[in-house]
Amino acid sequence: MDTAALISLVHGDILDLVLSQFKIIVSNVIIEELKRVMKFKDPDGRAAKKILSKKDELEIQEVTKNELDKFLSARVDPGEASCIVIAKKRNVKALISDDFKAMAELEYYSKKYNFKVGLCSALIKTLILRKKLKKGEAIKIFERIGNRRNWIGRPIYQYGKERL
Amino acid sequence: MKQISLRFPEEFLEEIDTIAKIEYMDRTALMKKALRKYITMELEEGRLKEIVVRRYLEGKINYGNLEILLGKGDAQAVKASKRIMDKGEELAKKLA
Repeated sequence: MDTAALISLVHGDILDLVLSQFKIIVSNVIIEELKRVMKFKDPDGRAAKKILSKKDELEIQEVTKNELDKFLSARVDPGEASCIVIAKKRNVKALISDDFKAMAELEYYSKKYNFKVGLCSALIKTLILRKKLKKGEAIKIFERIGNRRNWIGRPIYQYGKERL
Repeated sequence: MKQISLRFPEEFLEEIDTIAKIEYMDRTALMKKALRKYITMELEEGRLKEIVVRRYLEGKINYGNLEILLGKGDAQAVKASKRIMDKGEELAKKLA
């Protein structure tokens, strides 16, 4: 899971529920990104602080610079690149990212290396199917996440909410 | 270049012509400059970009329009994000 997705979970107020329901793997690179984001005195900074306080509930996989270098691009930053490395290596059920700008490349690598890619919204839908969330709660979560996202994320979450 | 016809209130047209005169431009050049500035500013602020994405998701504009307004990289990102959101249900069933 990448930094943007983890932050979405905090904005949606479902980090604890997700951590209790899924095994979440993050890289050392994501942990470093969160430490940098945590320095900002804004909602993302506070979200990063909360995620780091739950670090023990995450599985942290080491990814080397050499491993992630080949996936870096103008749209794929080291965090997402490290997620691709893990997805390729670990036979994960899905790579979860809410970094919309990187989505075309994440989709490309998911096809190339045969793993699934999804937004946080897929986890929320899973929680509905597992009866851990009601549809009405999920709608509010989509709204909270969408409101904190950028000009791609806001309308995408609005679109997803209308199809719940 | 394509020719188009526009209707403006007379007073507004007088304002445009006066500014064009001060700027040593003709009416067309001034309007082109003003529209370009509006598009650039709105795209930079993200407000127009968000409306463009919404209209694309609502099926009111096609991918070609999306690419003209956002550029290839961002248009591809939006298209892929929509596809991944659409496949969320399928992924959720696998994860459940």
